[in-house]
Amino acid sequence: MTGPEYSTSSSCASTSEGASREPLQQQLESLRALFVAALMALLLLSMSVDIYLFRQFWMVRKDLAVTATFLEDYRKNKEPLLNTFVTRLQDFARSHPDLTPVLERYGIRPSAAGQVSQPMATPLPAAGQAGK
Amino acid sequence: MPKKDSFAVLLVGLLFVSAIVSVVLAVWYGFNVRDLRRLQPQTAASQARLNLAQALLSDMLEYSKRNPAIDPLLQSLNLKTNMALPPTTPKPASP
Repeated sequence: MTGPEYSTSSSCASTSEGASREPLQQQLESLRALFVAALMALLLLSMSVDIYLFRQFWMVRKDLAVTATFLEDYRKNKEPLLNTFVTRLQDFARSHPDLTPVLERYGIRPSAAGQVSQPMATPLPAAGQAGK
Repeated sequence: MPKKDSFAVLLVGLLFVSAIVSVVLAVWYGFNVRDLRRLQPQTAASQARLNLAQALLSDMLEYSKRNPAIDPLLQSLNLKTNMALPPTTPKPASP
């Protein structure tokens, strides 16, 4: 084996090695492109989920605010008025017995004579328990 | 080649951030839904009581037509405005 022969065979081997690397390189590039495309698709999906979750969260938060406002208004304004109304009706019914049947339809009993009316003494029953 | 790698790294980073945002939003959403479900029975009960009170008030307004003695009670709570017109003085008969 002489030097030029070796050189020739060596260059031949490197050429064949380069030729065999070519498809590998192409496959790697193809795989890289596929990976990036999959990442982009996943990112798009994830951002869509984010937007959907944000909208749901915002809607629930708005519902929660409306519900809390309603309950606060009910407790602060409507419930005391309602209890006062019922208490006064009970007092009124003591002197006007013809009102008693109407009140009894709502589960309200006239307060006994001499009994001090309490604002929360007889709250209105729930709708399901009403005898109306 | 490094440029392509950095793009993939950027995408992975964005995906990671997006996943964290999803988790945070899901947790907030869960807490809010739990609070809303806790308040809903109270809201329904309050609404039912208000409906019942409205029906009671209607009956009382109906009753006040038969027995005006209840009017001061209703008016004191602003449940009935004093819509009654002042009694008109009869015109003197013209000669």
